[in-house]
Amino acid sequence: MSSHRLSGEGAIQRDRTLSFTFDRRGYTGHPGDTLASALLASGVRLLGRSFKYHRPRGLLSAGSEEPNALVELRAGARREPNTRATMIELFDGLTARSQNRWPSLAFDAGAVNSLLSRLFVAGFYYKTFMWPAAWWERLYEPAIRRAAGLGRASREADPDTYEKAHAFCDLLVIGGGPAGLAAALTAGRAGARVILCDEDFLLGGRLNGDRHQIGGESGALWARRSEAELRSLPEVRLLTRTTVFGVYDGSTFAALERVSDHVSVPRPHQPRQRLWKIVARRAVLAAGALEHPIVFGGNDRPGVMLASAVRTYVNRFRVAPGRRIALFTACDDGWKTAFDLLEARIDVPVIIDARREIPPALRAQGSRHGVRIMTGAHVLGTRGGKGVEAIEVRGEDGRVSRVRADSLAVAGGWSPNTALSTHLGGRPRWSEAIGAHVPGDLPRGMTAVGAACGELALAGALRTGAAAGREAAGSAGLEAPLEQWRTEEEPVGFARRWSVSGHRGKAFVDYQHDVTVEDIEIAAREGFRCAEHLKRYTTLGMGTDQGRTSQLNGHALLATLTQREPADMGTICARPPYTPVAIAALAARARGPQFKPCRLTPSHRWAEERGAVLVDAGEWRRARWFPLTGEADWRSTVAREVAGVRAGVGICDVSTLGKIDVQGADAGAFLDRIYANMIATLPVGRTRYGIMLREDGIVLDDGTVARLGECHFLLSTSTIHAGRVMRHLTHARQVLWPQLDVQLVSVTEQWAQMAIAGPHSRELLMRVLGDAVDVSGPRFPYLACQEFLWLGRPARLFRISFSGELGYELAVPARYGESAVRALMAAGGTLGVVPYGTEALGVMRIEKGHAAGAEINGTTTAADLGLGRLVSARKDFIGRVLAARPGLAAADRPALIGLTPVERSARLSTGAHLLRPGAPATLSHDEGFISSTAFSPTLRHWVGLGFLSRGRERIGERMRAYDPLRGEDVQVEIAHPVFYDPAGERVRS
Amino acid sequence: MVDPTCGPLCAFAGLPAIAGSGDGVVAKERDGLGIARITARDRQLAALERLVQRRFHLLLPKGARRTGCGEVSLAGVGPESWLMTCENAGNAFAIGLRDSLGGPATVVDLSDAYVMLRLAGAKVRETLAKLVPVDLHERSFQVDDVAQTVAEHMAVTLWRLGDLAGGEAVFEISVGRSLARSLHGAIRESAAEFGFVFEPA
Repeated sequence: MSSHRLSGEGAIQRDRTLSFTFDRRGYTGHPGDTLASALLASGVRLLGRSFKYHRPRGLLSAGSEEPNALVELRAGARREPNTRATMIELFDGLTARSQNRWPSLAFDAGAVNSLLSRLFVAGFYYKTFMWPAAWWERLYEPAIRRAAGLGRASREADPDTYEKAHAFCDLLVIGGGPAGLAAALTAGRAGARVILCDEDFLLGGRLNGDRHQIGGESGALWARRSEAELRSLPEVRLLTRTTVFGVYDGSTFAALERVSDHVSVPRPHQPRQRLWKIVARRAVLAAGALEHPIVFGGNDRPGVMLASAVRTYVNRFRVAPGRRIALFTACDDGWKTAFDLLEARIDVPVIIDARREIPPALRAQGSRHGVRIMTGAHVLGTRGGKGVEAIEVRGEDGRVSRVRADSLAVAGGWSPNTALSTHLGGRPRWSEAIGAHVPGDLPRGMTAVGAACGELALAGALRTGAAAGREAAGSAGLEAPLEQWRTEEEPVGFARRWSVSGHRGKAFVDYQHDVTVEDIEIAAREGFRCAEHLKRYTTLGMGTDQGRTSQLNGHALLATLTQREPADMGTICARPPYTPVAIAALAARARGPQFKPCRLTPSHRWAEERGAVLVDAGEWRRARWFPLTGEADWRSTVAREVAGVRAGVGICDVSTLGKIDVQGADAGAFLDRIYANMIATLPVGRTRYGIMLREDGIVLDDGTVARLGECHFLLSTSTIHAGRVMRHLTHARQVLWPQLDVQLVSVTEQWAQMAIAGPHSRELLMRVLGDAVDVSGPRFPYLACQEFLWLGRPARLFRISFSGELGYELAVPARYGESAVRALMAAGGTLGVVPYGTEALGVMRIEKGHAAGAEINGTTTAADLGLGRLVSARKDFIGRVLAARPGLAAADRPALIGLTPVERSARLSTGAHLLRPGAPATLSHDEGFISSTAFSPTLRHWVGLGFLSRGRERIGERMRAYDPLRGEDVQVEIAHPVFYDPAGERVRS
Repeated sequence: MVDPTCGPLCAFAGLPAIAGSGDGVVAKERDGLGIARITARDRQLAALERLVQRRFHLLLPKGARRTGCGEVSLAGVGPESWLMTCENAGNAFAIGLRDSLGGPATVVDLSDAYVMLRLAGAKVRETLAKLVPVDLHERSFQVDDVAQTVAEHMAVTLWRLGDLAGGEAVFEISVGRSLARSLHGAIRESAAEFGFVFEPA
């Protein structure tokens, strides 16, 4: 295959050669190439197959709007499907494969779909797969799912890393073309903080693809010099390879920086991509405009290309897309392509302009080159195998002739790139001046400039860009002179041509989704008159390109078919993201073990040393159990830990429970309003169990309140609700009762707190604490608490018990938590002290009938939990009024009960439904459920807690515990929820 | 009575001391700080202000600002509430404060609740930009500014100290002790491309 590379500089580095493969065949290119330009330079123009009909497709564009040239980039774990060849910056060793074809790109069996194309028209699915209904799940859906989707994702874990970053600026410039550069230069020179993002790796936009003059130098050179100047400004940040893909509230923008996509493997410690969250005082939308094709027969044949893309390949990449390139245009701009081709000594057999009248200057320039010019003419169709070989043209006189050409450049006119202007709900507005939509209501602080606002000529782009840059600098309190640059005059005349009547062969409106003129006609006939409905019915504008090259033509066609003007037709509202964003970039570091931060307990290192099995409990990582060598399974470990506590003494790190310090003259009164039970009457040096309700009367949390001083309380909360309770209290203090003298501080992190439980716990504490505090029964009774100094450091002791045994909780400053555990373990050696984890903790609390998260689950009242007697009738508190609602006070509400299996060896399962024996297993017979279960090593059978309608009146009754999920059906006996030491003698011993 | 078998545990013990090459970010553990939260009691703000000025020669900063004198610093972290630190004072600091400020203020010892890192280096802002949604530009986040924010879902307090002689910015970031390892990991990995050096206490 001979080279299509032209001589001359362009924007590629010819002194270096890069090797790459496409469909396993080796090619070369240069730094500065894209995969598309390098393949084109090697004469490859068949790059893919279309989605539905598997038609051969080549490059349409040279940018991110590319609908056809989607390839699989890289291999193995780094394989990325649906990557646009026009956006892949070439690197050495790049591998790419075509997709959606079998067995090969050149011969694709799927092309048989083309023969059935009369079947596969718009609405085919909706009409065909309606009947018989029973076939949907068995046949239709699986078959459609197999056929759906494009490209193959790698099934291996992504080996690369991704990260997020925040940025703030006075001005965010979206797009680095002439308008964007002008804005950035103007604001940047004034000292404004500017961020300029461009999806390309080369700044300049159309200045690289076209031949412009700015101030006497080439546009490309001006772009290079501007870039260098911007890089020298300390407050300006240039982000190339970066797509601003979303606009969000609060002047926030999301951008994706492809940090390492242009290298085969990211450099050490570099992410593959970085997600930027940018907060900008002002934003300039300088995203340019997109050129539209014209719809005619065979307009998808490889070799048919946007005229501006042809110029880009010629001028920027120095590649001739063909040897003999015809031009079909409806605007002055298209003529530039012909002139640039002629300049590069590429044969232009004909310039076909759909307009009858064209500027004399253009005609003269064309004639000077001796090019055949056809005005008022239209391309009806193309001929060729897997590429254009000839075109059929209908002249102004109606005669059809055939012109030999291997390529056809098509210039349908320019349409501002309005996508980001609509993310916050703005609607594009039709502009008769340019025959396209321009941004309508812009997000606050955003200005559209240059081609993005309809200023299609270079002079206008520079002028509007500079004005917006100056305005943005002004809003940051900076004075910026209005920059002016000298450019040449450009003709920008046009006559809109959406499609060609009488076309020959299939005429594609949306290339990626194979939507044809016929499909639009069907949609119009069937009443889909709205742009959004057209999209859903025909899939026009869906897919990775989101119809950037098809929306305008499709909507204009529908307008014509329904006898409306494009202005009345409207268009769709684009939503983020502008171009596809990898999920990995959105997740960034939050994956695998780093999915969320992990809170470690003060005794974590000690627990790890002892071989504890750890469990993530909410934010915390806690010891679940401490296995010993020779133990058969976790259940025997837990049974040993429970038995060790019940018969001797055990230690458990309970630092994760929330701890809130409440002080102030009104602290007692405040807590009386927070808790359902009385708190103000609690004597100093004592602890009390308390429950707090939500405003709606449901229990929010439970815990203990210790009174450390007259005006000093310490609250404990459940681990899971610690943050929520702190917010609840803060709201009450700051909003409900700001007049109270109350100060709140979370001290959860300050104190390491160890539960010491079991009949020998007092002995153990005496050994450890010595004279620091008197823990003897009479001096330190059940529910006592005390602050003291231990080894010269503050410490706190509470006589409270979750296990049902004689128990204490010892609190020390967190950094001493580990040494405290080691001291307790050392002192308890002869007492047989056992460390125990969350599992044993859970077993013992179920044996003791304590409600926990499964019971205090956001649906239960104090009465449901058997705590109704705690609720004070002598005071007001949050939740009091709504707790008395008829629904919450009904006698037949499910109440907390205990459950034991009638057959003692049977296992109980959490979630089982409670049914009367013999009752059918239907919802209407459901009377309750099991909330917590455990095998009780103490009782040697399973026990459970649950809720049963009128449960407390039904102790001794037998029910079915029916668990269809696990296929279990067990007969259970309703019991009092406290299985162990119901009189509470052990905790008071 | 049993003597504990080991002393205080450094929250960052055993964590990697370097990542990448170079010293774009240097994180130094701030250990031994006495940290206390002081909150003015109802209608006692003026009295507290007088007391703090007399005792520590400091004015209570207004809003999210920080001030320091000698070994003591004060940072505004809430309505009429400050985080007060003292070098090498440990838990004794809060006990002493309770005696001196306990009349007009509630004093709560948080010396163990937080771990703190002092961050410096040429790339400290670039690194923090990956972690906190705060504009750290020198004009936006000035010397002695304080931010209570989040770093990768962790509640952190961040403040800026005076620049080094060469103009290099210095920040201190603190997080709940239980999150020390997670914060260290987040900073280490974010700084790795610039080179990260950790100096334990």
